[in-house]
Amino acid sequence: MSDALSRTPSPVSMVAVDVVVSESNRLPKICINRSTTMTIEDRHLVIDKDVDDANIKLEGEMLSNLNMESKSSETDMPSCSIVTDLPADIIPNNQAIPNHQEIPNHQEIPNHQEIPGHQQIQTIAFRENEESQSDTEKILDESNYIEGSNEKKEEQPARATGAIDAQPNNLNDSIVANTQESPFSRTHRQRPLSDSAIYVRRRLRGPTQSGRRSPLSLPNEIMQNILERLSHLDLQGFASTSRSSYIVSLPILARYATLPVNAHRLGFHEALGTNIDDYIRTAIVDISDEVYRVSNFPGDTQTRQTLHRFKNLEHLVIRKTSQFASDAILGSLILYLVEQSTLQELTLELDCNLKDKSVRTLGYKLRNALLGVHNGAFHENPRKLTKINFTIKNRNNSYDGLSQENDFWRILMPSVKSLEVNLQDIASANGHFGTPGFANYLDAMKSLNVTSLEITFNNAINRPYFQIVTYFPNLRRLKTRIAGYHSKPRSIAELAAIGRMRALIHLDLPWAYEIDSHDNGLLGMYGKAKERAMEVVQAKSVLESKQEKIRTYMMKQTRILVNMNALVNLRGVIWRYMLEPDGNEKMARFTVCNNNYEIDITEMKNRGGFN
Amino acid sequence: MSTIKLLSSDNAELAVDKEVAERSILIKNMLEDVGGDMSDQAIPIPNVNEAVLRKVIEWCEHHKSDPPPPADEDSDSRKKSTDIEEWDQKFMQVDQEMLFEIILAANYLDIKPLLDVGCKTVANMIKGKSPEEIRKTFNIQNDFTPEEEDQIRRENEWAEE
Repeated sequence: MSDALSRTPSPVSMVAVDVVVSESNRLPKICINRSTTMTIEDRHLVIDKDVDDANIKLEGEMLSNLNMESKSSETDMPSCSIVTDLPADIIPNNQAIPNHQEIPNHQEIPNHQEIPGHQQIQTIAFRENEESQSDTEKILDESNYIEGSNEKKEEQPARATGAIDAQPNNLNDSIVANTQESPFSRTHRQRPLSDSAIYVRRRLRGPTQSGRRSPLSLPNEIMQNILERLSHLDLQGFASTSRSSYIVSLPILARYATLPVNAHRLGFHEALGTNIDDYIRTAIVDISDEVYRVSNFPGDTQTRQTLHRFKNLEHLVIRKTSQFASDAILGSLILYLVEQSTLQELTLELDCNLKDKSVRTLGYKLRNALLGVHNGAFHENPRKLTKINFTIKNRNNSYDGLSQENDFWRILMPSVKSLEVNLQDIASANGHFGTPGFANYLDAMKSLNVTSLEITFNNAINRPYFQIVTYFPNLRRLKTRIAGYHSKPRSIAELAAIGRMRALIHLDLPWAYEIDSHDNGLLGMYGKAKERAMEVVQAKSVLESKQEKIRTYMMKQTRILVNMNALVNLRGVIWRYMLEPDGNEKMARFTVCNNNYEIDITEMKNRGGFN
Repeated sequence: MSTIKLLSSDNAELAVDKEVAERSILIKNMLEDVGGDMSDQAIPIPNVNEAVLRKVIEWCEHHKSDPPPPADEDSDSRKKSTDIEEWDQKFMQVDQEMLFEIILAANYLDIKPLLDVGCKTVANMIKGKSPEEIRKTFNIQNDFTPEEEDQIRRENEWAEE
């Protein structure tokens, strides 16, 4: 047999490879029928043409311990041996590999585990025949293969006599030819197995086969979820793989690189034909970024010019993540805010808990930056900025400028309709003007034009609705969150202030109120008998009956709220609550129908908030 | 413990504990809407085939006692982490086709922790790889011109310093 293999070179022809399991020497064999060029799936296993003997390298983590011999009686075959990347201990040389051996059902192949030789062989056999299978069959087969079903495993040796056609155009990928090697020689190059056996199988399939799937096929929100977990470098690596990858990565790349101070970084986008003028999505500027420390002049020219190249930006995020805040970028940002008209949404995420006496506080920097704004700086077109998301951390109530410098908000607010404010990291104690710390921010942001407010407080907040209505009396939509509200029951009296918001259409509030004895009288006023009947008739678990009770109580309170305060515009109320046994947030949704004669309140079963 | 039946897209009926199935917010909401009694009727899961559904159920079984995910869905820790528990790592040792199907199923069934595990797995497959390696891993066609590639390489230099 080896004589036959070590004969003279043969002419190049199509590849025909058979894989069989040998019982005689307990090694898998790849049998070459009539070719000097052989390949498995066009990338990984190739014998060069015109060679007498060939060593074959299996590229990557693939197969080991393969011998090649002639299955047929043809004599014009080169002799071949195989070099692999696999460590020798992965597939022991002396491991018995009985032919047609049954593989235990549901056998898992965990990472870094020794892969029995027979499984490897059967993988090859399977691959060689899948050319004739439909895509669906391939997927099913693969699925069965992974799960280790008996039937599938038993089939594979029988298939091993099939042949595949070569794709000679890709033959260069992994050729290692050494005509001096003797047949049947085996060389193992030690290298740690970096991935699982399943991955090995995937490698065999080759990149042009089905089964490798680009994550770009995933929905955009999932893709963003994936990309947000990558470092800047990894993200750039992914973005550089294709145009589509780049476009998908751009919103997140923007967080790191779209608004730096030097043009060099901007070139990354220009190189790909992405015109910054057309970039409309989110860009994030961290005013604490070290790159902004190179200049300290408010409204630094270069920074400003860079910013203004984003002519159509719709969402800008300004972030402060350390004690440092650059005068230059702060001044430039504020000028940018007034000198353009395309921005629709502004997000401010400012951490003012970090103190550093060596730098001036954000408040003073902000005041300086505002000096650069004059009436002539405003863009002539109507502003599109309608939404501001504001998150600030200032547990010490230190001077940050934002709760004191009304000018900053005055510049921003005229067109703003919607505010999303997170004040949960604000000290609840009184601030500079004798009012609660959080109220100073509301005071600074007050605007007659804001009609939608989404606000988050911490659990120490007092009279939140009173403060809200003081500064935003014309709200049409109010959504409130109280961080950790479930841990501390609140007085239901605080809801009374909502009655002053006569324009309210939708309410979405946390329910953090206990059903106490004081309210029993009210229960009687509003369908007590009906509530009792519901409780008695429906034998439910403790949790379910508690849930039922709280919902009934919510409905009653909603009715009181609407009736007593004449909230004639109110159309929907959402109460969010938690029950101790499971701790999950639940939602009770009520619709309010006011037909001038009576107010009808109905609980809605379907989910989702009000628009 | 009550059992419910799920009907996969390929019409396979799988029995599963209600508690396990309710790891899926979609199913949980469905059950709530119908009053929780679905013992005689299979819930159709039209976007998920049997093989994938079995994997998803396997994950839910293992994680049935896990606490609910934090209410703050956008927390940075949840988004940015790529750490995966050992069991989940092994669970995700499947081929890419299955991995992506699990991710899509988790998204459809609204099982955020499973979706996160899937996304972390894919993120880990990208991490530390060169663009060429990523292309090979995911069979991405390089459609940049050589000039663009050169430009990208130059632009990336600053980040690699």
